[in-house]
Amino acid sequence: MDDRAIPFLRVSNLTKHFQVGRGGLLGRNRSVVRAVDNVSFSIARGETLAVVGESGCGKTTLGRLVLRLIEADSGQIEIAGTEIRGLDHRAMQEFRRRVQIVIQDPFGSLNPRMLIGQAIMEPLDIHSVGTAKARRARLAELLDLVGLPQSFAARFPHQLSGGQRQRVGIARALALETDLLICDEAVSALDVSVQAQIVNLLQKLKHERQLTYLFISHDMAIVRHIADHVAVMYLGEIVEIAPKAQLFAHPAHPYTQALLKSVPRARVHERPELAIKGDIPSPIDPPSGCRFHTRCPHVMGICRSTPPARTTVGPDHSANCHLLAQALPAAKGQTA
Amino acid sequence: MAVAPLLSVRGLSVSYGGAALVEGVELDLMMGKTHGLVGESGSGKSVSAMAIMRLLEPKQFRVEAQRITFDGRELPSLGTHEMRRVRGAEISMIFQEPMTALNPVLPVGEQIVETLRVHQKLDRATARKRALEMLEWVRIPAADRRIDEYPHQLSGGMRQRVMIAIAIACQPKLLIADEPTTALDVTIQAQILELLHELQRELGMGILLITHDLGVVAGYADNVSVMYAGRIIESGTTSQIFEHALHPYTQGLLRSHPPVDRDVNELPTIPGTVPQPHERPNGCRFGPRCAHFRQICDRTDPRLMGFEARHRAACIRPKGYLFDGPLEVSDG
Repeated sequence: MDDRAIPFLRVSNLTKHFQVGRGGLLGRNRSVVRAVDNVSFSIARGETLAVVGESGCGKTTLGRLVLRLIEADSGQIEIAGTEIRGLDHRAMQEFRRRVQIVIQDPFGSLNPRMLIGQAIMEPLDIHSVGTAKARRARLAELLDLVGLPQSFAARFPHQLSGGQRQRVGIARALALETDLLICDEAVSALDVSVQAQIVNLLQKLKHERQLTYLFISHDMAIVRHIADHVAVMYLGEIVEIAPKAQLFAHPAHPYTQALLKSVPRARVHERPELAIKGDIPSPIDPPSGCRFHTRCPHVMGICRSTPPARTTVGPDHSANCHLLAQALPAAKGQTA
Repeated sequence: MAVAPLLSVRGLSVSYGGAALVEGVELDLMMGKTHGLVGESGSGKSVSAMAIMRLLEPKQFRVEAQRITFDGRELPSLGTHEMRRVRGAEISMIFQEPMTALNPVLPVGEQIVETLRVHQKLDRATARKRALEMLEWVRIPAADRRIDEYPHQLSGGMRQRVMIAIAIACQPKLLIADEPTTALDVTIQAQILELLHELQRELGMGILLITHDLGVVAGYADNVSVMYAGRIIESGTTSQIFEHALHPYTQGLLRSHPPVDRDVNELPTIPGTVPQPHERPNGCRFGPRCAHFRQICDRTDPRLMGFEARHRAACIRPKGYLFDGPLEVSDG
């Protein structure tokens, strides 16, 4: 087991449900989106945990919860040993210096009328860091760090390509003393040649600055390349979590297996396997029992009625599936 | 060759306000085969398809072509009415985002009925019966219930199935699929690609598969053309492109995306970005980003040159390979 340090980020039993629909006169028709349901994981400092899953699995909500851009219903979020859910506005502001986010669409996140230089320095202004001169020096340093020419400080977002804008997004996220960077589909909108550049930049920054990443993505190939650990989400729950090598070599959950089989291999005339049939159910009132049971090729009676518990299948490797609980001796099956 | 291609394009160029978006595109697509048109954003792949379909506004876009032959007819010389009949009845298109292509205030069944009534002159009852068959054909579960639902009530994958049902309602000879699975989740993407593959076998239609995703092309295309900055820079059979790519851009693209089934240390990248139409360099368009750049690349603008049977590339290097082959080809 790996217990070299206290995790930098520890999330325990985090839950967020959204109420949707009008609800009628007595509120009886209210539906609930179980966006994030009882999610637990931790990330050691300097490591990357990738959260993968398809639309509606809750991965984006999870990132926003960790930043407290949305408030959770219940559960704990500890960053460097401090429970941040209880922090007041002022204390939270301090924490935000250390936790930043890079989102998918860098154009949407940059003010079109603000110069790139101003955009990158904005966090320094908001947090009143340093003198004007020190901030300008920091700007030069940041442009350098993300591989943009200094002249870009005087440009507007529309004058930049998608990849360059994403570099600005990263520079801005690193302007303060950032320790934890949440990347929400940060390379998904980029063309493949540019995507590789940004992936390499994120890798370089991680090593140089001991950054910890929560890397949210739908792209299993990018995840295999960038992650140390991987959590697979399905309809609001983590269904499997494991060290990267373990997950790709021995996926335990039928959903993880299906996800991996569905990815096109870029080999001639090799078509991806049709691993699962059917659609992703709506996260509003998800299926009973195991939420994957409507699409699972191995569905059993118990799957329809009883949610599977987390089962340990290897070092740091667990999955929620009745098949695993059956296959392993009862003593090893434990809830975390 | 004995069999004429279903679609044959030569010297297709499109400009917009003086900027050349597409230059000298050529491709041949055989009946029952899939031709992959691959490129990054702004490479001109969608514009080429729109030009072939004559869907670009003539007041804004200038389209020129030596020929666009479809099933023995020259598309540019057809009258407006005749062209409209070809679109829909003989050539269909599906797009990335079915939500914008479907009418949001009309039940999906009605939208298929509309197509059938316009193009096949069916009466309402027959068209509805046929629409239901179409929805079942594209494997929509509970089709008899779904037929009266609106697009917003369906998932992304179901909406794309409806789009496909509309597209194949008249049993077209050619289907142009422009990023058909880009907006879909990976498990759903696999289903839609497999559906297109099965429908192709049943109908014998040719598919022009436009995508940025090399993985999708490798599995489903018979031939591939790679576009960069408005030009086709390499074309060949899928094996030629994926196993013996000649153009440094194609080689770079193939390496830049990490494989899902094996580990790589550092991702090879292509430096720089795709040039905009007004900033394309004089010599080889890929020159400034090319790892094999030589002085001559600044002065020559290479066009597609034959290298091997059907395998062509717009680069002076493949010729160089032949010339000083033993020096550059490892374990030759």
